[in-house]
Amino acid sequence: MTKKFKVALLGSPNSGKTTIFNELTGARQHVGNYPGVTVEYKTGTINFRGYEITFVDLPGTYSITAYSPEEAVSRDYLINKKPDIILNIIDSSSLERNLYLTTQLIELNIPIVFVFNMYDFLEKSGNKYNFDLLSKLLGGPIILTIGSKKKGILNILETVISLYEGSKEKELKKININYGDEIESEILRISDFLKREKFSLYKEEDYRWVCLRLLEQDPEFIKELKNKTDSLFFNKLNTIVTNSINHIENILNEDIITLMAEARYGFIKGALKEALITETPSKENVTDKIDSILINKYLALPIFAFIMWLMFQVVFKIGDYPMNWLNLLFGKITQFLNNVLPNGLLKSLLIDGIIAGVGGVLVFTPKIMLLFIFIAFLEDSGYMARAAFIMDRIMHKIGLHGKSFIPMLIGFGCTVPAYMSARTLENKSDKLITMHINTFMSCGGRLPIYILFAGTFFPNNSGNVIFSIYLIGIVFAILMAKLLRVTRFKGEAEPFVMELPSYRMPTLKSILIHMWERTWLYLKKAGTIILAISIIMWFLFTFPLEGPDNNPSSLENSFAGKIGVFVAPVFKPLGFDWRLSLASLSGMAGKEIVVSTLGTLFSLADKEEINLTQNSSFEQENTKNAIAQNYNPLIGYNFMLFTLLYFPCIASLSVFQKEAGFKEMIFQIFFTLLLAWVVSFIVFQIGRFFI
Amino acid sequence: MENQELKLNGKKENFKNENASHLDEDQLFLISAQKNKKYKIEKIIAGQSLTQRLCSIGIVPGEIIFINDISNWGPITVVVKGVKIALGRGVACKILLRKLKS
Repeated sequence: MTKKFKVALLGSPNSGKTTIFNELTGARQHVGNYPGVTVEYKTGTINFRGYEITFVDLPGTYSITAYSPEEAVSRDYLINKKPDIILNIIDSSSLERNLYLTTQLIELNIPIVFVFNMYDFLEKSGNKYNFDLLSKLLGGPIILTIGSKKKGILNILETVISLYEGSKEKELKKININYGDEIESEILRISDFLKREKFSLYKEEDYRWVCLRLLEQDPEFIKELKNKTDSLFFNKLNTIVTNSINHIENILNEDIITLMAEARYGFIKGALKEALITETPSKENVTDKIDSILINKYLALPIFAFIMWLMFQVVFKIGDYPMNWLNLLFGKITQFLNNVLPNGLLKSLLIDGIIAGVGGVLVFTPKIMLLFIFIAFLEDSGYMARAAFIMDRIMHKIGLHGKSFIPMLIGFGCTVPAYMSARTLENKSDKLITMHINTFMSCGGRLPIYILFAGTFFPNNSGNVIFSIYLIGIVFAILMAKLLRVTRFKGEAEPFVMELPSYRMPTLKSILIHMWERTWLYLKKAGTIILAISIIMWFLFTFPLEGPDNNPSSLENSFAGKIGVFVAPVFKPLGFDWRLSLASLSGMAGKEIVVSTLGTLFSLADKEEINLTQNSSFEQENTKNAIAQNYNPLIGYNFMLFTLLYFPCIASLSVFQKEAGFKEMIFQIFFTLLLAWVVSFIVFQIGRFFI
Repeated sequence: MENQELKLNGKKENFKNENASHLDEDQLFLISAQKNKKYKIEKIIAGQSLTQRLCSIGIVPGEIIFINDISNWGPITVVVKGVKIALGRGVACKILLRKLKS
């Protein structure tokens, strides 16, 4: 009979928790969502020495007093799902600060293992500790690891098992932090009250913890109590706790949160001092030297701009090669199917529907991967925190947080992972505004549209024209952010408090894992929603098979065509005909699809001939010519503007809804559509006089 | 120096002494601190949420804070407990410091 148990990983951000989690679980992880809260957690299960161990990676937080969703989720998991063991990952290079979370964890009645990660930094700093003594003082075994070099991982597994089997319990007792006489006596008073009232929501051995949460006025905890206890009890409790807090704060002339924090740091300082063997004064480190250049008053912004420029060069220029190979590949697949399959609906579905639709998205995967690799490198090396810091001044002017810049950057690749990375914004208004304007960061899917129209109407200047569209997108993002902040999302951006971790050389493995997590979302979107919609699109274009007089139906008579004609009047004032309106609609499935839809609409072949994918040069030339003949530069540019501004594809919208709620998604649809329509209307109506 | 905006976000009025005009000559807010100098953190004057965040990241009364970079624009970088932290200017207006006696 295999013994199973659960281990929860907790630690500050930048402690290397994810690296250790990856080493412990290997490829066997699953990324999911807590129900009702949009914060990621990962689990991974392994078999080791006859045990089945499930590791749960909880979000990185500085404390578990629940002021933010991540903290609430971690605390909630620890209380309700009661893991068997806590694995507390600690960055050894900043022990004193990292142990703050530890003090909160050791107050839970859960066996705990301390992982002093990045141990090489501690060794280099010259401070030596008696870890046996320290582990007694903290109440748990200490393991030294260097996660990025896989050192100590086996040790973790062995220790976790022996702790589970209870062999270490006798050595280590439960540690209580002393908060000072005033607070301790109030804890007793509140505990007595709970005993008298036979408070049963928590066990009596956990009363101390309950009192600490009440004195700290932990908002989530108070909410939970209010919901789960009767109002008479809650009011009595409220009175007692309020009196206790007032008493303490008046005597000590300090707010209670600070008092408790001071007690925690006092405990940490005491423990570290006792366990210290030798101390070395700290010297200026490499990080400071690098920062003197990278966040230098004058150099910071130019260096940052250069790095951004470099990133786009890498993504677009180098990304072209694999993209062309994929185009060729899809072309070959199409030819093969063309020859092998009998003519008919199945062939048409496979080639015109699925390969055209899904292929159009998949060819962009190399570029997306390159973008995410670059971003993962910036994040893992520690530069991204500096970038958020540098951008904060500018973001602040438009009412946003420096951290808003990261989702915006990712949005240039694909909106789906961009929305997910907006989770790092703790403040709801910051997060919603960042998500609402993300669509103006022109995603990778819109690029084929720009390439087609800019290439057709501005052949000598296409690069600059496309760049102008990106720039306009950024301008609108800024304007709309300001507008939203002043109207719907009044208030100020979250106070900017951010740790700047030491620079470190990212490992290839961690970069690839981070890249792959986001790329997988992109691919999943292609494989599911876009596949489904491509099939629907194909259906709308292909049927009805016979038009009036029983002749093969022309495109205008298909369901799609009828829809296009129906919505055409809305688009007419923008200068778009029924084909462009229909193509725009098809963009809801995925912006990449717009070009292939246009290609289909202009294809001169009847239903019997099979169209090659939109990326074959023959087809591209065909579409280019058709567009050149039917439209003019004004309409071409206007269509690019419209594409830029209206809401992103359905895959993104479904993630938007998951992250922000149905109401906000509807708002996004209407607000961006209205904006796109108004801007295109103005541009067309005024431009007409000049053409 | 700069105009210091004190926003006592719904904080209970326990600290009758903490008013900008009542600072003694050794007290100053972080926003007015000088680059490359060390100070002692005296008090955090902010709402519960921000106070908790600052405490959990290491910014707590009694601690020594080193001003890494401060200028007329942009966030400020400090070092507390060996950790480098970036703070917005609004946050810097809420951290009361005391000069160290050299």
